[in-house]
Amino acid sequence: MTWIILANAKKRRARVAMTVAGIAIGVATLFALLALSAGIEQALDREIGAMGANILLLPEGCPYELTLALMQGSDAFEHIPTDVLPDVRSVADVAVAAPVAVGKAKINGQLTSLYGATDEILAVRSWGIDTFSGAIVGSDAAEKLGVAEGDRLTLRLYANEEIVIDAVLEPTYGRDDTFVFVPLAVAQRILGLGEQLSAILVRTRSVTATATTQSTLGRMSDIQAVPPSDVFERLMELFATVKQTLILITGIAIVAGVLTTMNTMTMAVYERKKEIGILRALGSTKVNVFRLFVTESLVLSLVGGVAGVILGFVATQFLPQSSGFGLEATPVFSFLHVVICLLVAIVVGVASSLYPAMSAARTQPIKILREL
Amino acid sequence: MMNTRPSLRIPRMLFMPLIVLASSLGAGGVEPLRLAGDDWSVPAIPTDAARSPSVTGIIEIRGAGNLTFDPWEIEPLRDDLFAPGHFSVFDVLVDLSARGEITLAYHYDHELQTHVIDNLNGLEGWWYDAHYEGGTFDRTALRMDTFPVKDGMSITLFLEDPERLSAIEHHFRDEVTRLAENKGILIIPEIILRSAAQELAFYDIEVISHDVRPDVFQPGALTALDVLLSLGEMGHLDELGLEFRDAQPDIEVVDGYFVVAISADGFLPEETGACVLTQQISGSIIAEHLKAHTHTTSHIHLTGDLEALVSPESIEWLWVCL
Repeated sequence: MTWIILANAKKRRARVAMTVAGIAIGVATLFALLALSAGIEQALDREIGAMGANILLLPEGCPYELTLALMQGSDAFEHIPTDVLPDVRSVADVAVAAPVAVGKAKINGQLTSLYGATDEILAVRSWGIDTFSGAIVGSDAAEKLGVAEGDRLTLRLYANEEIVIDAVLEPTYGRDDTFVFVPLAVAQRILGLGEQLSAILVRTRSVTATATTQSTLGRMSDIQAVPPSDVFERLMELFATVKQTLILITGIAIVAGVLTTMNTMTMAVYERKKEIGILRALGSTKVNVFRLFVTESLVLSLVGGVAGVILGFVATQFLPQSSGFGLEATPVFSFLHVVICLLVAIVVGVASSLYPAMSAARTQPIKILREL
Repeated sequence: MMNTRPSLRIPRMLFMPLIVLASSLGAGGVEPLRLAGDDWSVPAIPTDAARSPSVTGIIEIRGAGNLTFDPWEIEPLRDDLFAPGHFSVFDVLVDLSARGEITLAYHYDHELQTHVIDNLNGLEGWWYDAHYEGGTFDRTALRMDTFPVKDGMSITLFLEDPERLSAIEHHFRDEVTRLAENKGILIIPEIILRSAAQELAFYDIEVISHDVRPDVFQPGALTALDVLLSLGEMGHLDELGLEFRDAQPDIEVVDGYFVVAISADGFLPEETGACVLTQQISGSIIAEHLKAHTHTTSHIHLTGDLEALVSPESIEWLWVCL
């Protein structure tokens, strides 16, 4: 059987190649979609986790937009008055309340995210730094600005100031890498925020106290208390709708692959009637013929599947690495994705071969031999 | 010309900020209107419902803090657009400058058909955002000298990303060019009506003024609501329901016409409840610099009757429900 399949593939190279390509494109789309989706989920999870807070205190407005702005280091225009801080800190289970002010400013002449914070930021981030009086620069920002520890930064927007770099962070592989952290008062002056804050990052004394603390904080005026996990879930729900659309498009590509393969196999049956007749005359049963065509289709689909996985991997390297939420998301590859893609290829192979294989199996040898 | 096609369902979650507002809509002091057939005229707002700004307002200017203004002291630069007693966000800046609270250099740009800030407090590249009571900042791309001020509104002036500012200017310039090419007639290349499951598009629609808000704008002013009224007059709409609301629970000043019902051949929103039609002016240049429409809470408040038009490339109406 292997010999027959190989001989047929060799004889009809162009058609086989096009069939494999059709399947490969569908599988590649699926593989890329799975890798990018997993990457986006991981990026969101990482960024929300990296904030280091159990509860985000945000200004009134859309909590998802405000959280995204905070993660991206953008100014959301809605702010919290600084004078709510003592009330927040007085809530029983609040262990840390880190006020932050974020926005983009010209740093050494380049538009860069400025993140103003107090020493409390060190309690919610895991940087391994004990003091915070000058600037702490993320690894990517340091590279972009061409600066190192001890250098001076010029900050400019609504005010002009200079500040010395205390430390350059080791890569965190998150958005912190792109920020320049400065003392809160400096950021407020540069960003023209006066006494206002972008958010307050709250860490509770215990995880079990999160719900009650959120409820207490949520009753304060001018602010909303949002658990980052809720934001993550909502954003993933939002992404799920986009993903559904992409899956639909992928499904269409795969159906096109099925039809292409079915067409190829049907044509193969038509062209190889003589071969089928001889096989049947030499003793091959209907089941043998059926199995031959199903196997041939499966082989083509599997080759297409493997090619699709490789093609999908290559394609993801050239796609823009953004989640659509303004966060960088590197595609995540897993063995499970490869298995899913190959299973889809197998299903394509089987589905597309059933009709042609049955048609081949039904061929009457005597009728074919008479036509010879 | 019109065209129907199915649209993707927009997740209800995106409407959440709008739903909160829409669900709290209350009745206004003016009789609701059902426009249909040959009559698409809207009677003027009764004098007792036609309020103009009357209490001290606050404007945030980044780097300068929150500054106050007295509406009684403000004269509109655009008296060709605003009726007496009304003025724009830009007029507030001019007033602050006249009082020495800020330093402001500006000029009227005929190519953009708007006043432009050259320098504010020694800095260049300013833009603004504004919303009425109960809304949120919207990343507006509307001319500052046409955005009407109401009591209790929030205004912020900030240094805009140069790329976005450039896109806004480009968008305005395109509008003025389009208007000139159409010999001063407002013709909108694309109008889309969208609900969660339906979409209806109209192309190259000429819009005429219906003077729906003579209390706010001068006669002949063109607003977003005129787009729907013009569609109605052309026979593209079967019915339009308008409701003037002066206030809502927790919102003292609304003063705008809400589109609470609409039907057309190929567009009959199936969602019911507390629903309104919100609008978004757009165009190829500006589209990527606008917030997703579903987040434009202030469009609930910047109702179509208060959004003055020049000559937009497109306008999209979205049916938003609880």
